[in-house]
Amino acid sequence: MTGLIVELAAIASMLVGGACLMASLGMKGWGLALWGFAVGVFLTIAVGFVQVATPLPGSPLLTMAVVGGGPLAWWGWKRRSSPVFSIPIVGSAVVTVLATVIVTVNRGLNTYTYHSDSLEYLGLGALLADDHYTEAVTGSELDKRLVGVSLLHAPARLAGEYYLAGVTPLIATAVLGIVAWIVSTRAIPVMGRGGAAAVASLGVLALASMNRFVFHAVYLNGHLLTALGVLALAGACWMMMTGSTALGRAPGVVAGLAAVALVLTRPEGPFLALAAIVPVVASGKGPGRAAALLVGTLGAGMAAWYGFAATAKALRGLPQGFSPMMALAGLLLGVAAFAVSHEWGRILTSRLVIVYEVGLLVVLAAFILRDSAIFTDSVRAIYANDFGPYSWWGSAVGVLAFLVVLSVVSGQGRGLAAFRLPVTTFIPLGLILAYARGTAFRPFDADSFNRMLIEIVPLAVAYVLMTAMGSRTRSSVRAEVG
Amino acid sequence: MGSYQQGALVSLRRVQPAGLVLLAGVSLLAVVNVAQFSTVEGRGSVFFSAVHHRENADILAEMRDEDASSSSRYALFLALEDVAPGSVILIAEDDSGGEEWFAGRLYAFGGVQDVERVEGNALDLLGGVDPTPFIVADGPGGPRGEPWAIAMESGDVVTDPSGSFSGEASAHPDSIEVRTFLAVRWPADTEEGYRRLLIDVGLLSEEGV
Repeated sequence: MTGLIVELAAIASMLVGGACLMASLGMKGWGLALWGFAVGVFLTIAVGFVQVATPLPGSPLLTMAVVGGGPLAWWGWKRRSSPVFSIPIVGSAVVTVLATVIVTVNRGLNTYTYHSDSLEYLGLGALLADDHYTEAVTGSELDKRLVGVSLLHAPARLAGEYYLAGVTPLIATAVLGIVAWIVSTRAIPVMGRGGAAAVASLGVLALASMNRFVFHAVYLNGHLLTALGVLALAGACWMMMTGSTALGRAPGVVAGLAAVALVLTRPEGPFLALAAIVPVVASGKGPGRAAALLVGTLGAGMAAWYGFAATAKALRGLPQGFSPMMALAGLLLGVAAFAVSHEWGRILTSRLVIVYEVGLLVVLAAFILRDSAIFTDSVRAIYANDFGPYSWWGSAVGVLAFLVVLSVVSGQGRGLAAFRLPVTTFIPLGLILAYARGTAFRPFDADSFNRMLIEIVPLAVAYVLMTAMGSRTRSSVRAEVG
Repeated sequence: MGSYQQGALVSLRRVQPAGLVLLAGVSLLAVVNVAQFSTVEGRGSVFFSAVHHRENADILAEMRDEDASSSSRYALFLALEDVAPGSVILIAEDDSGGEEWFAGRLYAFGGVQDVERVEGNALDLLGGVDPTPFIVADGPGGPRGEPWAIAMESGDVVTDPSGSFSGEASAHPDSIEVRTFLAVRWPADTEEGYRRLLIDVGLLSEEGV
């Protein structure tokens, strides 16, 4: 019983905090709970990291109080000044009941699944909750596990448990809901509300019927959390580029929080974030200050995490690995943010999407020239795991990849680069990561890339469905979704 | 509902041909997913199953039952929490018990309240003490774990010949008392040439810790 209460309190802090923040920034409508939960998750990770990196206590109770209480107080203050910021009571009650049911059912049915990596994340969650993280974390865990997943499950320690059974299924629910929200937002001007609902439902069905999506919805790991982060970031970037007000004044806040959460969750997180942000910078659309702030936030997140990791390693005499290099890259992004905020810098960045894509390929080519075995072995493993006749994904990845290619060549996806770029650069990025870790991917179910793929699958489904709705100019999209 | 569906169909006319192809493709994706769900489900191990039913909410209990590899990694720490929760662990400066992962697992899974560094050589601190009569829990290690043993001044003997700690020591009568252990790589006739020993400092000589 105590475990259930702790879990409900932790989930409530994310939902309440995120929804109040979004409502305070002017968001309305049925997406409030979905985006609110996502933002609450990102806030939990960001606040938890601040606790880890500073002398503040690491207690999850403090995290929950700040994440839930801070935005609630702000919303209460804004609500007193204007009824514009109200949150519907019936909707809130329905969301509360649904979240409680999802948590209770998943706890009752023991739906979780795990393997050895999961236990490492959960062990780190215990260290975080008990304030032993900095003294006991290993260099490998700082590099590979980071803190995002562990911070989400840390409250379980308050009840003597290791994981929150409902948080990953709720993340899956948020992923499905945000895909539906984004797709329907794009589809309404073309197909009307009925047609948009049908297209959005198609996206939900395509994901929810996928065996690997269902697996990741209960898998104690960070891949679906990363998928939520990159989906929310791409969606917010799209809103920034179109000048849409469908998220109120929140796109920049959502994008910044999602980018930081991605940095703190997976080693590939910063690159996925950059892929979604680059199109905003390159487009020259949206306020330049907002694009600069977003680049700066990503850079600050990287510098903060990898600077912390480098310091923690140095204090314990551990090998530095790539932490200093990534911290430096974060600082360089800060310089880039300065350039983006000025007109001369924005001229330089107009071809940034192509530069990013070609840049990844050049880096990969350099690695291949040095050692081709990792590349060939990894490509074989990716084919066997994800595309071949005995793929762990069935035909899902093959069909989806074909649809993504079709979307790109159709020329109808203009303005959707924030969705496309993380998807189309994912395999080169994965291969570069194989070189970074020094070993090729392997043809078996536990292979890293095999599990990482879910990180861009929801984004790919959203991209294909949005492309299906045809090309839009910026002004028309603003008129449609704003 | 009928007019709603009709409206959706009518609105399809507003979608360009390429868009219709993409919509058909996503529909095909959903059909393929449903058709292949059970086939894909049968391909992976139990750890990568989407719908595998677990009996126990306790992930560590599940691990003991079905994951010999991880069990061998965590057996020492789980046994320590069972036989001596809230203990203090001393790691000698020279001892490889100071490997960077050791303290983390002690805190996260061993229920220890503190891990402290002490000066000196672990084997010197152990002195000539033979911990064998005092071993209350042990295990042979496995794919991811070393052979290990816990030696305490009193208590029931718990052995773990299968390599996955059984948890029988949870009823240990003296487990309330906070104990201090020294971590030692104890030379033994094992494949690794040692056992990871946690020995109650009460068993050590006066000159020891």
